[in-house]
Amino acid sequence: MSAWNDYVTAALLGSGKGPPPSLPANLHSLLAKAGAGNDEVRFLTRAGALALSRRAGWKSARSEFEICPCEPEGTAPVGRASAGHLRAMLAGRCAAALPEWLGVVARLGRHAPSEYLPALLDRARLNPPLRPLVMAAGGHRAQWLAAQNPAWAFGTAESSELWETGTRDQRAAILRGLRANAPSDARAKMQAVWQSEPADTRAAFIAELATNLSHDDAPFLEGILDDRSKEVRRGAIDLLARLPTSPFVARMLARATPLVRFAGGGFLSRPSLEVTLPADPDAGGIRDGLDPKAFGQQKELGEKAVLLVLILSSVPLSNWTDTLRREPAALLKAAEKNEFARALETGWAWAALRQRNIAWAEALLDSPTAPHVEFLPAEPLLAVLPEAARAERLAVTPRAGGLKISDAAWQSLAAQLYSFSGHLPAALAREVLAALRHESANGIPRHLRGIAESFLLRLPPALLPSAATGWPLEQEGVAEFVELLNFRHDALSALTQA
Amino acid sequence: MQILTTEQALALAPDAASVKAGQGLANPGKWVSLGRDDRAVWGECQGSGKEPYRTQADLYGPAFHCSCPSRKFPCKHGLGLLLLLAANPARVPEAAPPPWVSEWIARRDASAEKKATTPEAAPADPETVAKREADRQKRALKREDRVRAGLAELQTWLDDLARQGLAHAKQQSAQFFDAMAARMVDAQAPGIARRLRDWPGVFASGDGWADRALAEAGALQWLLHGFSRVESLPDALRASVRNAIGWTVPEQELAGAEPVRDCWQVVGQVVEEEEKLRVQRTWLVGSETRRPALCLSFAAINQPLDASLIAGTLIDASVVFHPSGSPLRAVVRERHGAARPLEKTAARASFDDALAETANLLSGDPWLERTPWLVRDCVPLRIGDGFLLRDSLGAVAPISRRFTNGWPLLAVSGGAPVTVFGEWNGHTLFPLGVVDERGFIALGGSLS
Repeated sequence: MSAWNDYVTAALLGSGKGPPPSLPANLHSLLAKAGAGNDEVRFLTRAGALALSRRAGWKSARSEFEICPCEPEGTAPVGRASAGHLRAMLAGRCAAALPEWLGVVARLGRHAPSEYLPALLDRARLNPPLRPLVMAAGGHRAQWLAAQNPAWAFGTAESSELWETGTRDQRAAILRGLRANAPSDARAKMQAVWQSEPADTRAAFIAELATNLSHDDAPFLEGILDDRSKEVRRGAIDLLARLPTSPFVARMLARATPLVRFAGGGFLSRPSLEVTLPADPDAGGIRDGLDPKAFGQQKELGEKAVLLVLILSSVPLSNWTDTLRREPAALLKAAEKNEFARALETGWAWAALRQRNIAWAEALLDSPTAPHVEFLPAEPLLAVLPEAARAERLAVTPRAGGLKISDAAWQSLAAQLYSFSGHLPAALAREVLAALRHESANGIPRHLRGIAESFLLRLPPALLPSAATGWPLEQEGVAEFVELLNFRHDALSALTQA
Repeated sequence: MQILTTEQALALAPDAASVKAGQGLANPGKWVSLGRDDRAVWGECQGSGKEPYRTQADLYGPAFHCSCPSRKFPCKHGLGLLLLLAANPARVPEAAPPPWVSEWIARRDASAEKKATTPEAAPADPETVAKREADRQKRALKREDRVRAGLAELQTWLDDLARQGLAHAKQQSAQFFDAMAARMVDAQAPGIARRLRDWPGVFASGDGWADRALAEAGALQWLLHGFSRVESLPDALRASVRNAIGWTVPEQELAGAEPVRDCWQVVGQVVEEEEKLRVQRTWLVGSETRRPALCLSFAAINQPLDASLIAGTLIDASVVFHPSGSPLRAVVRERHGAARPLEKTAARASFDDALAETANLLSGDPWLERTPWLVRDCVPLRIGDGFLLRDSLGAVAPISRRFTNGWPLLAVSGGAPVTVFGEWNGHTLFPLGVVDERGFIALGGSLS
């Protein structure tokens, strides 16, 4: 079609700059009669005819581009009604129910309609907690798609390129994925680049070892006690303290044993718990993280008491029940009178969190002495308990009417409700629901709306039909919540029925 | 009974605000009563007034009626009702329609019957008829004069453009083209005005802009030729020239046209905004005749577009075509039953076949801006930062850069062949629908 190119070139410059280019013979004879008009008209007439013949005779290009089709899904797609629910959530209706919906889709062995995967992947890109849910509910198609768009790289199986060039979070995510299936491979991968990574990356990587932590990790973690960065060292100590067979724990045990013992106990008096404060740490102690200023400048604990907390937090709790031959509750009772009671409880509470020790956590929660929670990890002790036991303890709060008093009570209840991984146990859900209804007779109080929404999202599906009835719908803010309950019920039952 | 999907119900919303408001009302708690039967769905919704609003939808249409004062169509109540039904039919119990529903349905049936059987009621007085006819002819002649004057100006404008060159024209502001478009509106040549308003977009369209601009200038030149000898053209071609300039065929002139009955596949729908006007294009392809038809609906912003054709359905209907060298624009004259979901499509085997149909359509009407392509066994490809479609013979067609659902199209195919419907403008394809093993998926609207 070089004639066309000649015409385009001439048209760019202006048709008056030269004689009109020649036409292919067939068009030339056809247009012989269409000669009327000035030069411009003749030029455009010929160009128009040429353009039309080109359009009618358009020749497609060919492409040998290799495309690797997605493997067929082993799961069934969700039904039409469920596709509608997904569409509604993407359009903004009850969007808060999306994570749960995606989880149920994956658990039921279904997959989300493929046309919505790009929208879901876009959301997951902006909202990391959604990523595993989208990938699980998206089936093979989601992975296949993610591999073709760099913006969705989080959804692809590990690529060596991403490990080389990805952001810190992307690389940590690669380690997390690998750690879940091949823990020692993940560790080796981390070790290979360890020396050349900056401190914040090292700290992020070390945290990933918490997944599938085992004795095999101990030698690597021991080596990190000499790391330049305090934050990295702390990360290693936190993990070593969870490995009862590690040399680190053995050293801490040796330091701890002489510090706490029973003494006295005569004919009429019970033996009392005696505490000896640790001496100033030697070089080995400093290497193991024994820093009297570990919690910074503060008035709550003396420097020696800080060392006591750090040592206790790294010692297996079974050591105390075994050597002192008392149950946790009895030990805590015996410690009550001691001048360092709160330091003891703080050290033990930290150890209970690290070791996920249920018996100790129960005893600590029942103890009238409160640990210094400000020095402990953010996770509440309650989180160590199995869900049923946790629910039983939490249900007491609303039942006792404790929530009417303050917003703070709701906030702290909410924080603990969030520690349930999925739906709330039914009994607890009923208690909180009753308390919420009580608070909402005149509309849902503004300060409770955020809490109420996350609570309603955690109501077990079986409770939804009854939970959705009997609200004062005309009151402010109530209808939205009831809609969320109804929507969840409809969306979840559509998934399970179809 | 045909229950719309959420997607299809959302497609009826006149604007984004209605989507949001309708979603809010897709909540059984907002309704005092709800019910449905095979034909209709209805409900009473407590609004701000004392009496609840009575909302009803005829599922055969779909058509809506609501006692609320909203001027949007469908109003948020009607939309909410359909969304509610789509999300969970079980929340809308089957029941006998209350009188306010059955009466409305009866009125609708009566007026549809009247429309179908009795043509225009004949005025009693032959003198009035003659006068009316004379007035009409006078108006028509006046318009011809205006168009003739306007097109003479267009010829001068086009001459200047050709003489100064496209490189020069590209430097002009959008205002330059808008001013000429406004002149064409004054001259009652809206079809030409619309084409002129597209020029700045053509200049900004990247690689190949000069080819597209020259092709468009050539098409306008041929339209000028066509109009200059419009009286001597054969009827069909004359109709095409007049359509392209912007004459519309009055409804009554279609009365004598022969209806084409077929099971029409509604394969694509798209709404575009042009100068404070919304234009909805709905494409049908006959299952038997393979014949394409294009139904247009125009509405001011916030006013209702025709909601009776839904992409992804199959309708047994008689369709009447506007006269043209290649009749494409059509109206649905009569339906013979409710719409069914479109599951399998009768499509062309390759781009070559679709292109042959395009060439055929262009031979009758060279001013067609878009031709329909319904092709099976296509694989969408992502190459570089664009999308392409490849047919079973290995031919590729570029997908329009304005098309925003490239990723969803790719996602639906998963690298496997699918049937795709789209609008071909001679350079790129704008997909409006895709069919996979589950059925038809509309691509004309938003999927996020």
